[in-house]
Amino acid sequence: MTAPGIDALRHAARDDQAQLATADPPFAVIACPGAGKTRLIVDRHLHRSVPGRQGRAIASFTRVAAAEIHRRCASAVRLELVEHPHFIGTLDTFIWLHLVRPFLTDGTRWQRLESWRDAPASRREFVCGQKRYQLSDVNFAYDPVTGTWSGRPTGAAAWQPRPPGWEHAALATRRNLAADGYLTGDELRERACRNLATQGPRLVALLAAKYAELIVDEAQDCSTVDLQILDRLHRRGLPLILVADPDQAIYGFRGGSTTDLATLVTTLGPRTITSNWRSTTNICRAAATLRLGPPRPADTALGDHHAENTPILLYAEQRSRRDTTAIDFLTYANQKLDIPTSDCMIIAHARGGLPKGYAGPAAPPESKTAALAWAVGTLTEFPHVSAKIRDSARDTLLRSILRWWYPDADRQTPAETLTIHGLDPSSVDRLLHRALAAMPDLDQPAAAWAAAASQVLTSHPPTPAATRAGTRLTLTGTKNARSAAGLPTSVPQAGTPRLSTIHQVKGEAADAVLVYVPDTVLGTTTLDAWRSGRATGTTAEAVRVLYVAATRARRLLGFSLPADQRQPIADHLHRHGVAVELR
Amino acid sequence: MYLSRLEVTGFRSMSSVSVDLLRDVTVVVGENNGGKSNLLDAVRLLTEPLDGRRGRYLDADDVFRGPDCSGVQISGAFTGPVSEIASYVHGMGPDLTEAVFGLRYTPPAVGQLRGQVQWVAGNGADPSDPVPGARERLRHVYLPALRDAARELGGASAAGIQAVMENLLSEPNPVRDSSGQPITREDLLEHAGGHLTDVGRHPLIAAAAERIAEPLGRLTRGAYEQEADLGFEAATLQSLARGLRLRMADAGLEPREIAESGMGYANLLYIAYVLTQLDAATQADLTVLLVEEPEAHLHPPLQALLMDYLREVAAASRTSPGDGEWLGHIQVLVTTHAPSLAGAIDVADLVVVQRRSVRPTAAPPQAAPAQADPVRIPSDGWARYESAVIGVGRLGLSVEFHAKLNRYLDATRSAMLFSPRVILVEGIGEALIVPAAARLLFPAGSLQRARFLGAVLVPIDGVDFEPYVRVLLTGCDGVRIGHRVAIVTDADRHNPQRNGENRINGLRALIEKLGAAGHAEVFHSASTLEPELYAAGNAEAVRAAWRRQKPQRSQQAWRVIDAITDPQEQIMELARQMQSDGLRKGDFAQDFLEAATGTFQVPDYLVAALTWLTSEPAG
Repeated sequence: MTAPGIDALRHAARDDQAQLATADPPFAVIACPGAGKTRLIVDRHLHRSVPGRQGRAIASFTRVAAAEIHRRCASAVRLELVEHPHFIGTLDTFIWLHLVRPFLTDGTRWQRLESWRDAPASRREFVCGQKRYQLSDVNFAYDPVTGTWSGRPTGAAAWQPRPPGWEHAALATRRNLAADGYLTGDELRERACRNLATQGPRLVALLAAKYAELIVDEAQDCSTVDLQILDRLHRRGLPLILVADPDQAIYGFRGGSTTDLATLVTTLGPRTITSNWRSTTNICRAAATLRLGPPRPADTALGDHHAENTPILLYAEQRSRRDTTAIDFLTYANQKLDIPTSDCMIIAHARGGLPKGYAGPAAPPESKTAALAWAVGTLTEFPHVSAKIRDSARDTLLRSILRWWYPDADRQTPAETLTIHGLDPSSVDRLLHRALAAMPDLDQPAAAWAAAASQVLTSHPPTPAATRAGTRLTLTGTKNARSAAGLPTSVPQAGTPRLSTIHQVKGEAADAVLVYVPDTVLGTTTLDAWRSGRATGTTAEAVRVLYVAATRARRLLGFSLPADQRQPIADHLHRHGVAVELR
Repeated sequence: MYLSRLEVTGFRSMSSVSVDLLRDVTVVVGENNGGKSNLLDAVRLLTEPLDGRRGRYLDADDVFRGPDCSGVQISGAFTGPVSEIASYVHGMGPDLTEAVFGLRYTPPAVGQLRGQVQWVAGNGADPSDPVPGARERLRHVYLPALRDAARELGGASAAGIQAVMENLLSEPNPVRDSSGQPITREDLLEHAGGHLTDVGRHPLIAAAAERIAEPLGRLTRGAYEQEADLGFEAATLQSLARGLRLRMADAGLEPREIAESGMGYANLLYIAYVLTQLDAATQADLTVLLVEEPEAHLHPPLQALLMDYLREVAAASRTSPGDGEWLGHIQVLVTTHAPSLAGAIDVADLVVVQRRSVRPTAAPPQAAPAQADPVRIPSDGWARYESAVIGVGRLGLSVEFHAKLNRYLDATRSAMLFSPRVILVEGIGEALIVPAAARLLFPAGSLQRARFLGAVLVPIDGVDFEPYVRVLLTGCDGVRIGHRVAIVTDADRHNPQRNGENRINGLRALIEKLGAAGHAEVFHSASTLEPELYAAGNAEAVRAAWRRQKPQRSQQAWRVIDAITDPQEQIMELARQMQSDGLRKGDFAQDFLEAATGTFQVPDYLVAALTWLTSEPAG
């Protein structure tokens, strides 16, 4: 492609974007990866002003996305655009603020939880068939039509047989927590539906007077209930703009529905963007092969690296060779493309698919003492873990301290414990850091570590008058505390690549991306679907997860594939004009 | 939108108070020290100052001194049509009709320097304010009670004058010069700068500069030689505003310094100056204009003019086109102890604030929560009085009584709203005799004399007591405006229709119905005041007073009266004769007092009324 050609394409793409940034609502933007969705939203917010006394609501699915819009408005020195009467935040907060909070009744301590993982420790599990289950391993779904709840296991539990009464027990546990004022996103949506049913016209009249329009980013992640709420708001007069990429819908397991989304998109009027400012043409072509359904042309690469034709690297997957694969990929990125390791991303559908040497700490062990050791190790030795794991480690440490001093701590959320005992969150934060700094070395024997850690907890009371609750730290065995906590023994050096599950890096990008597809049933069926272009249900979603993975890459993309699938995939890619290299 | 309800708990004199406010103007009346200013302060704490300079903060001394009180709570409900309150949906409750914002203040614990303020949006089920920025657009302007307008209008007013000029420069319809060209900031500064330079070149100023420069030159020439000059500060809006002073004089005369004007007009100038701040109300959804005692130094017609002006400002703010970024609504809240101001407005716009004894609480002092700051408030330092607030609009008066009260409550009679102790009488005769009777009954310096002086005597010019009784005695949330209301009337038994008895029975039944027994009593003569004075043993003074008014006619009447032997019948005949004579009661009362030369026998029903009125503490 000659230089004037790309300039003309870029010019046309910018014109299209500018047109969308000022178009009248409602409409739905179907945007490919790297299309600059956030920029489109920010441009609209900066340049299409709303009538006086009205604001614009911009709802996204993650706090990171909301923070990004905040940051861009701030850097344009338009701070007034992030304040009242505008709303910039998560869809959960939008629903909470407008559809739930006004209707709460006094007398209950209402608490919003990100997930049931944040519920009081002693109340977030339930017993069925003499086995303990975690509420956070259940996918609950509320059906606004019937007003009923259902629950399905998720994660590892999804593959194990369930004893009779399992769903009943899960639902009862959820119901009890909800009745005591604990609200996850699911409970918010249930209440929102009920409130819209009783006070809908006035509520939406207020929202339509307050907001000139509601923009929902990453709308492909909307659950069926989300879409029903949005549909109702729109029908009753709140102008709606959806920004979505249905190919990136990877939260179907939480109740998303691509057909419901398609219906709403049709109602609003779809506008399509196929300009990719992120990836090379070769990566765009490879990604296009991962789209299910009728073939569509690859997106147009317009970014700085659009003309680079580095091949897609295909490795033969073998659990024991994952580290070697990673080293080769990183070296290739460094030496051939001058990409530093810190700009590389190593991802897989599940954490189990990642190379062990790079994986770092994952989830805390079940034993409370081991979990404390895990938290201490994670916070002090793995500065590059994801924010989610960091938060989990901080939460584990905080709960350990509170449990040490307050007998009821496990029956409350940490936030409740702080309120009940009148503790100032910033003082507790400092206490946390002091205790963490004083924690013993994890290389000593487990029992000795537990004894030393007990002393540290005892010497860090939250208030001078606090008395111990009587809990103990116990670790047994001959191992050292580090291995008892399940922490990796080798600590990756600075400049390590970003390691994550694919769901965690949604919306992000890296110069080089290596995707592991493990040799499992799901892995194999996913690859079959990739080649055939046809799939439904779980398999279809697994293909979309791979699509999300592939489209994170700017310049270099690699796959580690089960050995017997590598050549067929290579052939498939080749047929679609994608340059590949077997490594 | 407007602030429709204010709820205050544990703040200064207010143990627990809820008050409805009107959309345009609410006038808060009441006795001194009743707590009127505290209501204004509550609004100042609840809303942002329009100019962003907060002059009122909460501290530990603001907490009501009562055993159950551990902090201050102030909340306000904001109401309006959907389009006006939609921005505040996050502060609404389930009925979605009003947005409530409030603050809770906890005084510092022992050893702590600062107390804590927690903001709450909504009904409190979630005790937080998730969108604190929204409250930014609910503001106030505070106009304090004026003591020294001349001082306030001195150098301190520069910022305000600058703001007025800035506003003029940014208005869509700018000020124009004589040729019709819009005036810009540059025009003004160039104009001013040129003149200042000219003045600076005056030979005397030049000489003065030289005088200073000469030693400077000598002092510095060994090092780096310096020169000095005298000149005016570079012309900016700020420097010009600093040099300007508000001046005033009668129209047509050369304006002079404020200090040379009358205090009252100086105050009006100050009020006008503060009101220019309201230009900035367009940058908020609601600005509550808080005016404290505007009557200071103003004679009643000026007070009425000011009220009229404030009402217009509020009404006009709601008729603006509404295409601005914010609503720009203005609501006015005025405190006063001027009956003339109270009499000048609709009675439903009045809010009465008064002191009353603290009601005994169920909880004994030692049951107070341990956290409730045990050190700061000694148990014997608890407040004995608290403020009670009664909005006349909340009393549920019928349209008929509402209209009557608007007619009846003039500048004089409105005084009854200022004291919990009221004596209602029929007319001018009683109005003159009752105070004289009180002087006779209660020795100077006695508690009863003091209580009588603190009471308000209202001649209603007729017998239509009911509207007065209703407004004084209708209870609202357990409080009523009148605490001890004596009604003095005539049974008019000489009158063949006997309607006096009906009136008295009707009033007693009304008091009963309003649940105000103990707060009000009806005292009555058998016939009317004048015959009762005669019967009480003041025959000579009564004869003299009547003779003075009607020498011939009274003599004829006395012949008929004296011929009657039955004393009861004699009194009734006297009443009939005086009635048919068309006695001018005011003149009679004055002549009677003159004839009685300072002392007379007080009729029993007046003794009873005055004794009852002054026998117990009101409130």
